[in-house]
Amino acid sequence: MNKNHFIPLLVLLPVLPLCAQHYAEGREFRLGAPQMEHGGQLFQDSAVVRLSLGWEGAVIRYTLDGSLPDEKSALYREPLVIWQDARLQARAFHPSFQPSEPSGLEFVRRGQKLKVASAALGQAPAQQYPGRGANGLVDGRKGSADFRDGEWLGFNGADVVFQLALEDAAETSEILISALSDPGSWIFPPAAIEVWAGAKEEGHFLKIGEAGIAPPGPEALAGMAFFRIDIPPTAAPYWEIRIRHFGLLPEWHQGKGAPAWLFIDEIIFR
Amino acid sequence: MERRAFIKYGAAALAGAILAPAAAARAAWQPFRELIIGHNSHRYRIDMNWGALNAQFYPVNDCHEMVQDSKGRILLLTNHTRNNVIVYDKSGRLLEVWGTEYPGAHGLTLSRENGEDFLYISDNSRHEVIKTTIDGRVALILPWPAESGKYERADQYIPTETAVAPNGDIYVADGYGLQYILHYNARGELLNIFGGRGEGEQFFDNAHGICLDTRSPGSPTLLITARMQNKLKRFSLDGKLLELIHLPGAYICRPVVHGDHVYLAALVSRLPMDSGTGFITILGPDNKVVSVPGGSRPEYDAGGKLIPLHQAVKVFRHPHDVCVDEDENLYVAQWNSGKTYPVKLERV
Repeated sequence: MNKNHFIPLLVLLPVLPLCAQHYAEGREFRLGAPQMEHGGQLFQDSAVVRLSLGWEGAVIRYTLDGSLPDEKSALYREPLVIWQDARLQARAFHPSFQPSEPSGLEFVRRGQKLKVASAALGQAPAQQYPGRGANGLVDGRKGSADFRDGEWLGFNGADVVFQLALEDAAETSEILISALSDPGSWIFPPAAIEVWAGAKEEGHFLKIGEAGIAPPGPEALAGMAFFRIDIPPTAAPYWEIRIRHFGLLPEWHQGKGAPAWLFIDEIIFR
Repeated sequence: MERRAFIKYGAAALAGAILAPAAAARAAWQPFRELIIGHNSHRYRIDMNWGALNAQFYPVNDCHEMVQDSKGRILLLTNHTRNNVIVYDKSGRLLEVWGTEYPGAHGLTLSRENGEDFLYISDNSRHEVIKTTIDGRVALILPWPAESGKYERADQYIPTETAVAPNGDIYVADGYGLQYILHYNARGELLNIFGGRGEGEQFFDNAHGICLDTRSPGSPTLLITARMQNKLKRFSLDGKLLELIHLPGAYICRPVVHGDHVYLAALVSRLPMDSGTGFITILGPDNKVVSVPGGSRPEYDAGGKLIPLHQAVKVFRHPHDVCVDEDENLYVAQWNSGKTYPVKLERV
């Protein structure tokens, strides 16, 4: 055999055992994302979260600050007890598989129990997504990731003006809006939120806080999020929360130019 | 040697050998361990390349459903109107294609009638069910059921699946429409209608799949999936609810009875419907889950409740149907998976 023909053969030799089969092996696949079992994203004193995958030999690592877990992140051994606001992210790892995509959920301490005199919405939610109405936004109940679960109020291309009258005015320094982002379902987070407060129902209202929200990009994953607005400590009986909708679906979206949906399920006063 | 396998592994290793000989040698000698999925008695090795064709000539969009005919051939239904039906042998070799008039091709059921194979195609876009011979000649069309009094327009009726009883009666599940189950005789005359939307277990949310459960000799019943409810519901042939099988976490598409087991593709294990998850669910003779290929180990709690199932390894992406051959190998058709061809699972 000519020497020049022999060299490529030598190079191919180690490859031959790989060519003998056509079945898939683990390293071709990612693990599934870990499951999270919990008693609700809003907690009073603490929240207990169980993580699982149901695949032998896989371990779960997690973070509480919203960062992507890697091989050096905390190892999940027993149910997590969460004592303060946390953005839990968990991923599964296994030596024979690609690491999973993260599963994530935000846990938030409940707000104060509000003594609601009346709650109203400037514009009614869409007929098919009424949620629990204006009062449902301050009832301490949060929806699931499924926007059809009856907890979510859906608005198509409309701003939300939420008016709240309280029987007694407890001090509040932070307002959280729980909203959904699911671009694939045409649901976008709000563009901006303003908080107004007043001493009298018909009197002078003062804007005491606002927040702008960065628009999600094409790669954004679907999920629930809390948007925080810090305000100076305020004990007002009358409140108005103005939530500006996203606007028209962006250029990269399959429904570009059509109005985005806005879904909210809870407003928290802390 | 499989040529596709060489292209996949061989070419990559060869490129590596040229660029970085040491690294390539290490990669090449890493022991190969085939992945086995499933649990207990029903475990499988995976052939991701089964049935792959040249997409320029034999394209697919969604691969919706598959059946095996009495010659042992495997038939795939896709909503690509270049070739709605693709016929393979069990090794994945292409035998023939036909069908250009089924833009909403969704449900595929095979029925042996007087010694001849017939197919029932549920078409989402045409709002009707078409019965054909095994080579695609139209034998009967069941149009939208105006005579039922439940529908005002054709587009309210979006049939997803059919089942054929031993006496030739045809059941159609309107899984994307008004959720009724329509019961016809073999000539296509409407005999009964049940289900529909509503509060209560006799109603449906996404009555996506239906089949005859013939495991109990002499007393066939209907198994119908309520996909959004993660439930499999058993009905009598005259439309009375008999039993509920809870499959939390499993958005099951259609039941397939083979031997004394029931096989179901679970499209996803969490919402939204395009979450990129999914697995196969196999129920034993007692309708308890015995194996979840691609999913978490099935476990029941002390009260006998199934712990919610979920995807554990990402072998599947939106599996939509499972076909079982006589060797109990599985063929899995997938929806919205990037126009991929079916996956074969070989029982070990």
